[in-house]
Amino acid sequence: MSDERHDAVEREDLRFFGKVSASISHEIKNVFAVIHAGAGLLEDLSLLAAKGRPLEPEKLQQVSGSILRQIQRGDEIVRNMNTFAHSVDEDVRNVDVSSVLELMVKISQRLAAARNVRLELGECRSCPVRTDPYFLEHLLFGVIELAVAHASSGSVVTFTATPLAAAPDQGARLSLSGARIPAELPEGLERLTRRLAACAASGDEAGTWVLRLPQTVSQDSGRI
Amino acid sequence: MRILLVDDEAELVSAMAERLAMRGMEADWAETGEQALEMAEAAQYDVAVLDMKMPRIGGLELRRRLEERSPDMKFIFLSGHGSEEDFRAGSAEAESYLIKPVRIEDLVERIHEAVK
Repeated sequence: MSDERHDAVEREDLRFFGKVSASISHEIKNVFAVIHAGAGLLEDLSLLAAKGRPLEPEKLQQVSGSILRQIQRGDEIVRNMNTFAHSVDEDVRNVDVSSVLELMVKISQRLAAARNVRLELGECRSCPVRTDPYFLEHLLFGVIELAVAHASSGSVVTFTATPLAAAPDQGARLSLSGARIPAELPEGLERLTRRLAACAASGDEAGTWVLRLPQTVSQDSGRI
Repeated sequence: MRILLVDDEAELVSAMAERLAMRGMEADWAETGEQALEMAEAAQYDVAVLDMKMPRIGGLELRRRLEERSPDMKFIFLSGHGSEEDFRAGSAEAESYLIKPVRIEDLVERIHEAVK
């Protein structure tokens, strides 16, 4: 690969990392904003109480409940971010495709909501494979972006992940319905599909897009 | 003075509306652009405080549609990002642009400035 091509591929990988980081930081900012508004409201209520206005316990419970919910939400966002960040620790390792899919769907929900598309998980069974987790996340994120771009406003895109029916020890089958994915993937996604030794195709059912992942991808499989 | 707060984070705008009410402002809130447009049909608002990034109808689009109905309405944008792109668009299209989390004192000041 030429230096220029190598740089372009690296930049594309970084762009993916940047997009995910920006989306997560936006979510965290929202969590902080709600906590900040709730804490400010509690402060206002206590100042009014100091001036003699009675405090309503239900109001306090409502505001403190909101703050607690936001802390739980923030905790989940940070846990997802941490899982995502650690996906570059090893080139190849054992992963459960269902868990990776669930993570990327959660991370992409806000991007989809901006286009008025909802992402849902359908049947997801444990699919242990040995693969490159970062490239798998990148591929799934790219596919989700593509699906959202091709989905109509108000639609629901559903994902499933199951072991390959005929030979479960041969890998995993990942499917998507609710949006038309072009038969020819963009070059970046084709590269990731090759890198993961995967196979993408319009599925056997109308409108279903299918990705088949092998049980094992070697350390240097598909490197370009 | 009547304020309309719009953000898809309902718990954020409801708390902000309550805090503005404690400061003598009549504040209503909506969590979608569609809801905000309906409310603006039913009542006259002096200032609308809009989140820039919302599902379906974003802040910039909502501002345009609200202004069509109420040409005198003033606008303040909220953004969680604080990105260059948001700043440029927000500053150009509204009286003010604030980055979350927003101090209530700053919001009150910007509201007063907007209606001056």
